[in-house]
Formats: sequence, C-alpha cells, structure tokens
Amino acid sequence: MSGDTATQKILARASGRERVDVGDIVWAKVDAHVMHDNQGPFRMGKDFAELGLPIWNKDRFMLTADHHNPPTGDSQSKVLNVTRAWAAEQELSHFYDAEGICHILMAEKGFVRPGALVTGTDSHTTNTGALGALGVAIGPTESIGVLAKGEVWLRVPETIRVHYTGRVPEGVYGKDMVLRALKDLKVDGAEYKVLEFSGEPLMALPVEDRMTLSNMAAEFSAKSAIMDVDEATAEYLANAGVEEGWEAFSSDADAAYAASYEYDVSDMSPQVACPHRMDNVSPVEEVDSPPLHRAHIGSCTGAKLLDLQAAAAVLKGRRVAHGMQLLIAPASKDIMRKAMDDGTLGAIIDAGGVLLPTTCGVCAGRGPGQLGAGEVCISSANRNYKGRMGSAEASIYLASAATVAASAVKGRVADPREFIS
Amino acid sequence: MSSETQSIEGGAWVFGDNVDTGYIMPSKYASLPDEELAAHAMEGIDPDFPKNVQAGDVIIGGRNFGCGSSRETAPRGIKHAGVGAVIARTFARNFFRNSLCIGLPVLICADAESIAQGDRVRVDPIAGRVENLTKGETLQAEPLPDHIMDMVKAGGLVPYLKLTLT
Ligand code: SF4
Repeated sequence: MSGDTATQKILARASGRERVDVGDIVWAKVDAHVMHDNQGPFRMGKDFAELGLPIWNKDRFMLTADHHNPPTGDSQSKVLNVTRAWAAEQELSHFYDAEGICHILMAEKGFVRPGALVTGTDSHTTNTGALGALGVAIGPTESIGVLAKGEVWLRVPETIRVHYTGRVPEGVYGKDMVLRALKDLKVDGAEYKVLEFSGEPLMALPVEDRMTLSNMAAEFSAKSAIMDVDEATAEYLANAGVEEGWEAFSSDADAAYAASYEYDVSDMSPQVACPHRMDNVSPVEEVDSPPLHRAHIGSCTGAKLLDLQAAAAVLKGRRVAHGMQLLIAPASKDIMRKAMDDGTLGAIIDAGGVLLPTTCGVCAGRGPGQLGAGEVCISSANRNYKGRMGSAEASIYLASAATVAASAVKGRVADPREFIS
Repeated sequence: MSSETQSIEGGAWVFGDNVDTGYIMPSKYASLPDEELAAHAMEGIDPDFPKNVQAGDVIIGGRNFGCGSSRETAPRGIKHAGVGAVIARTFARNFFRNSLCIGLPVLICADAESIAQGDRVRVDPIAGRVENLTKGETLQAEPLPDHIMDMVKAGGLVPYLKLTLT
C-alpha cells in the first residue's frame, strides 16, 4: 500500500478518521470559512434566516465586502447594503468592509493555519495552500450548510504533483512558475484534484509569492492546492498573530500521485498567458502583442506587497508609455500601508500609475478601469477569458506584476528582465 | 420528489468543453437579483439563448462544464431561465455542487455528446435516466452518493436542511 498525501492526512484529521482513501466521501469539520459580498448574504441571507439557526462559530467565520466595493451603481449598492445589514444583524466579529480581498485577508488575519480545512464561497479559496491548509470552494447556498453545521462533505481527491527544481532566475516569479505548469496541464488539467506544489525553488519564494501558485490552482480547475510548511511559513503565521494551534502535514515519500510534472526553473523566462485562455501561455520573448491600452496590477493573485515592489523596481524613474494607463489596486489596506511606507507606491504613482481601492475591482469586472470593446490589457490577475474585465470584445494578457510593469513602460507586452539587473 | 424535479422535458442546447461560468453568467451581472439573471443566461457564449430557451429545455455540456469562478449566479440564471437540467460528460465541481444545492438537476453522463442540438430530451434525475426522444435512445447517468440523492429528492440543500436540521 502506498503512503498518504498531505490532502488525505488533512481530510482524515478533519473527519476524525485514522486515514482516508482517495474516493472516500467524508463529512469534515471546517476550521475556517469565508464568504464575500458577491456570494454572500445577498444570495443566501433569506434562506439562512428561514432556517433560524445560529452561526456555528463566529471566531472562525469571515465576511468581506470586496467584490462590489466601492459600488458603481444601484445594484451594487444594494448588494453592499444587504451585506452590511446582515453583518450587523448577525453581530459578526470579523466583517471587513473594503479592507482587502478575502483570500489575502484570510491569510493576513490569521484565519489560515497549516493542516486546516478551509471553505470559502470563492473559487480561489485554494489560495490557502501556500500556508499548508486545504481550501475548497463552495457556493453561497452550500455556505448555509457550513454556517449551520460547521461541516462539509467532500470526496477525498487525487493529487497531482507539480515539482520545481533549479534556481529561480532574476525577473521570474511565482506567477511565471504557475503559468508554465498551466500551459501543460490546461484549464481542466486538475479537475476534482489537488495540486501539490513542491521543490526547492518554490520553497525559496516568499510565502506571499507561493500564494500566487496556490491561488491559481483554481485556473487548472483544481479542487484545492497544497504545499509544505517551513520556517518562512511559521514566520508569516507569527506575523499574522498565529503562534500555535496548528499541525503541518506533508505527503509521504511513497504517496501515490495521479500525475507528476517537473520543471527546472533555472532557464525559465517570464511567462505570459495570451488572450483568451489562461493556458494559452508563451515565454515573454515569443509574445508579439498589439499596442496595449491598460496595465493592471491588482487582484488576490497579483497585488501583494512583493508584487507591488517588483513592479516598483521596474517603474522607478520611468514613465508609463503614452496612450496607455497603469492601474494599481493593492490586495489589502495593510499592503497599501506598507507600500506607502517603503516608497513602493510613490515610485509607481510617479511613473504614472493610478491608485484604485484595495478590493477586487477590475478583476471582478467591476469598478473603474473596466475594458472597453477593442481594448487590450495586461494584468497580474488570474483570469483572461472574454468579458472578465469588462467588454467581451477586449483582450487580456496575464503575467507577473514585474512583466505588467515592463509592459506598461513599453506599451506592448515586454520582458521585465530588460529593466532589472 | 419535489415538483421541480418531476418530468423534465424539452429541447437540447449543446455546448462544448470547458464552458466557463463567466460565459454562463458574465461577471457584470453579479449584483442582479435572481429574477433578473434569467435574461442573461448563457449570454457569454450564445447571446440568443435567453430569448429562445423554453421551460424544460436541457443544456448538454462536454467536459468540465461550469469551470472557472464558483459563482452561484451561473446555475441560478439558467434555472430561472427555465432550464430543467444540465447533462455533461464531466462538470467542474463548483458548478456541480452549486446546482445540486439550488435544486437544479445535473447529471454526469459519459454519452452526453450523443445528444444533438434541438433533440427532444426527457430527464429523470432521481433515476439518473436521460431519454433522447428524437433518437429513441436512453442514456444512464452516473449514480450519486445517497446523501446527495436525498438532497436532490428534497429539491436542494435548503429544503433538505429544513427537513433534517430544524
Ligand atoms: S481579486 Fe479577482 S480572483 Fe481574487 S477574489 Fe476578487 S474577483 Fe476573485
């Protein structure tokens, strides 16, 4: 018999079993749950009220108002007001209104711990994998079940291993590493499976950048993502106020994987996903884009402090190309504050960047900066299908924040390595 | 069996592989109330769908139907538009769970692709049976675990929780 994957171990713990096999269906206790305005009280408030049950554990539940915030019209205002009223009525202790994007807040506020089972009403709940937690998405109606019972049913999934070797070259980031794998595995490559990212260059990334990989597991249609936990993880957790109360799980050396992929990053170029599919990936030097109208550094995937710093390193002392606009939306207020303090934001703004709120905004196809018909954008976000950021006749390239910044300077998709040395 | 899951019969609308929820219900409609979602169902992939779909019609997907964002507005929109069931070779898990939770029958069927656009289809979600009335064929869907079938029979998660928790 082969050993167990980290995912099996987490689900065994969460379901109170000795061990679980792939394919088993388990009822598992949820360690933390997140819901946001877009998939929250506006859709499930009435049904939840009808059940008349209390929230199972308010210390382990976070509600964010990030998708429609600030609102740009009546329908969004309505969603927000319903969200705020529900938070007040339920006397929530963790309601964050325009403070940041849910996945980043979950990590920053210490809701995500190694070995935990996390649910969330958002496909990118996989983001938790960078902290060794198993995050799975559910919808707002299913969220009612979690809020009422603190439990969810799950099928124990197979795991696909994506292993990196070599040394991360200058100008290459977590985004490039995950796009490279997405090129091979495709948008349905991890259907119903967990992506386990591993290897020295991965663990050499700051924890925030490891999140870029676990976040984008959703783009492979993965159920979740998982990574090992190390000292850097412990330090990240300590900064989030989590000193104890967690248990890290790793896959056994003889664990069975559904598939394995290996990438030597030493010679890897920055990668770009071209319109209109996330797996339409090429090395930056092979991308010959039309002139760009918009560059966007934002979202839960691409607007963490290190993303902003990487962009600032490219932009410092330079200007955004004539005819295009650079939008920047830090992923949380904490990140914005730090980027203000260390000069990162100043460098971006001086280069011509336009600062947007610390919410989903353009990434959710909402708020200012949406794309018009025929416009071309490069973004550090995670999705580029038609219509994601506004008009269905717009085109979106996806890349690291550094590549987005380099492209903003050149006015076309450009290689960040030209700007950093 | 709830009224919603009885005798689903209508025309087939066939879509391919990897139909993203962003096409089933574009992001820009995320803040619309349920009733208004129907007018935009499948709009991102077939702008004429909302005006031509009939109550009881059935959507046929290929592989990974409903991938991408976990938005529940995707199954809600097509349910409100009158779609009786979705049948696909495989579903993205979020779409699959969301649909069952809101009481929209979804059936995993290896032979879904034998159904052609416009074929007349009758679906029995409890028996997992899909009859292609045009071709005179009967397809069998993959069975679902008991606890999920209990939810399907109740008509969705909320009615099921009402039965079991309150
Ligand atoms: S930033 Fe984009 S991907 Fe992240 S939660 Fe918001 S809408 Fe979703």
